[in-house]
Amino acid sequence: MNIGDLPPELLVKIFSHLSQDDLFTVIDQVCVNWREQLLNEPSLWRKINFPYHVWIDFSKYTKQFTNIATHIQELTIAEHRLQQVLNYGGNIEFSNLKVIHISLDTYDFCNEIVKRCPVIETVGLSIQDALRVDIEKCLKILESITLKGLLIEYRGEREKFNRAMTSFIKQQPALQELAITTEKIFADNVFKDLFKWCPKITKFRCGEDCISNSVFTENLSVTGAFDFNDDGLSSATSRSRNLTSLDITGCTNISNEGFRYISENCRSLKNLTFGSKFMDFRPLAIGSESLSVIAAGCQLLESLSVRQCSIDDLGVTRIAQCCRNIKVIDFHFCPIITDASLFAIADNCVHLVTASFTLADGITIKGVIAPILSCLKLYRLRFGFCKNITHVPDTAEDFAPDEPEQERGVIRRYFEKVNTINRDGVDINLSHLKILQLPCPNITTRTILQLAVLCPDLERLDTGRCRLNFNQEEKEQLMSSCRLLSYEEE
Amino acid sequence: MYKKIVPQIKLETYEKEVFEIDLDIAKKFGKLVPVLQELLNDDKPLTIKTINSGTLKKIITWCTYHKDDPLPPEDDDNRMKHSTEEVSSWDDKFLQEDGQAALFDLISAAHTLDIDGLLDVACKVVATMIKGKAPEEIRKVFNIKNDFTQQEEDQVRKENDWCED
Repeated sequence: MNIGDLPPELLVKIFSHLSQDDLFTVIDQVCVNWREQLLNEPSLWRKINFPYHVWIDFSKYTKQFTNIATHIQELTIAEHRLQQVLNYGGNIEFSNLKVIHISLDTYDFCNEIVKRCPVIETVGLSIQDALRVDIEKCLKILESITLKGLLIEYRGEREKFNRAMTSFIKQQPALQELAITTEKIFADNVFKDLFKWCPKITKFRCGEDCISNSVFTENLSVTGAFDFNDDGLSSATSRSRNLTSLDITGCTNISNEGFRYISENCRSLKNLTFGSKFMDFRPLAIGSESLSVIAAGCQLLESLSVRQCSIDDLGVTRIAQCCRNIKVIDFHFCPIITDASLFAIADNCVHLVTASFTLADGITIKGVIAPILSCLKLYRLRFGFCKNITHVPDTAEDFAPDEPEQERGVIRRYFEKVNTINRDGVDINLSHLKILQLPCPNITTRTILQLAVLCPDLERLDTGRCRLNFNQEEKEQLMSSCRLLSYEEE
Repeated sequence: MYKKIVPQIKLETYEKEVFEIDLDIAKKFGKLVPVLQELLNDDKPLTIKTINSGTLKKIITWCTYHKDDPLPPEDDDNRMKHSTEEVSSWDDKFLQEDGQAALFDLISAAHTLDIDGLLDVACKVVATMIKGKAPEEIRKVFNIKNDFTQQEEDQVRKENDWCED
């Protein structure tokens, strides 16, 4: 068989693995059949991408563009290149184009988008030179069509941008997605209007990190937005009461008051993320009061992720007691959390799947054991750099007699469990935990061995960079007590 | 020692040669999936006239080698990633070792039997043979006749030389 004997759909399948360059400049010159299959197959041209800053000799592409323009559904291109295409093609129309990303050099090019793209739904504008591209005029032109999405990357005058935006959103009742990258987020009054005029908004992204969290349809992600304050949060949440996911990481101007709005407005919230941005070492003033308020209002919460806040045991306890569906808990760098939080979690969170704590000096080995014994769906447990997680005492009596009753309870249950295991062998009720991560500087090898006995189905044990040296016998013991797949040692 | 009995189905090729294929392998043939049960019960082989013995042998070898591959991911994003993955050196060698004609036979057969993974990787191999070459080189590699009329060729060439600046 010869390549010429292949049916058209297979030839097209081969073409689909070729680069955009080959399709544009080579394939059509091979033979009549190839040219015909190539130019008449919409799937090959669905997504066309000319990155703005990559240099190419674009003149080689212009003519082909006019042949396949009607096939394109998603196009990324710089204005001056598209202008070349239009100069050549005259009355060319992009009749199936739904999404365009364009880096603008002149504001009035938006007219071409309006004129030549009859089914356009989403426009992405990159405006680097605010002196040449007037954002107000741009959006004025785009107001005449109904959009589902607007994505703007803008460097320029802020007031002007806010005026343009305020006017634009009033004309866009169908808008579902809005993403904005500016040097600073736009003012809150614009934000308030957004939800008033555009009730269908399901994806909203702004702030420094514009790409985070776009997977949820009922989500709101405002990360790293310094101007975003309690008022903004109030108007946003009051207009999106079905919100299931909220990420306000790095919004340093939100106070306890803002959390009250979340609690009152977002009764169906499932995922909440807040705190400092990654590697930003300014702890936030948000404390347990905020968490208690959330616990009272958002009882369907399933996932809570907190970075660098002054959360203490009271807040965690309230969450554990009120949010019975909680599956994921992640407290990163909340240093004043202690064992009491873990006891509250162990007593209440029966659905817990993943729990992670880092840099909490108040957590000891008792805090580690409590959820393992009680949360029977727990899959992954991590304590990062908690320096007071050290060793398991040999006998219950070794614990100080003045320990509170609750703590003695955990220890008593631990020894009961260990005795049962020693007598009867593996306790399959504890086979839920698969991943145990304890990169804690003062943990002992003996403790690791003891914990491994508790968790018969462990697949991964990670002790990070702590200096652990298992001898051969201990290694064998580890292997026999759990299905150990990997661990790291010095 | 007991020998595990592996259920098999029978396929007859263009040359009327009958192949017995393990059920595990046959499951990879999308086209056969709806009739597998019938084929298992039936002792008569299924005749596929468009496939020759050499090609079927290749297909069985390929499917056996890739028996334990994970299924392609369900969601679109990952599938996109999947489709741009490099061809492994084993696949590359295996698909090219019998020459072009055999490769196109294989593509056609993989299409007929609906074996996505094989079709995908074989098309990628052909695509690599095209990539980065000039039209004339491509014609040479695949023995394609340049059937543009002089006029058309001038036209195409002009289109590609066109330059506004």
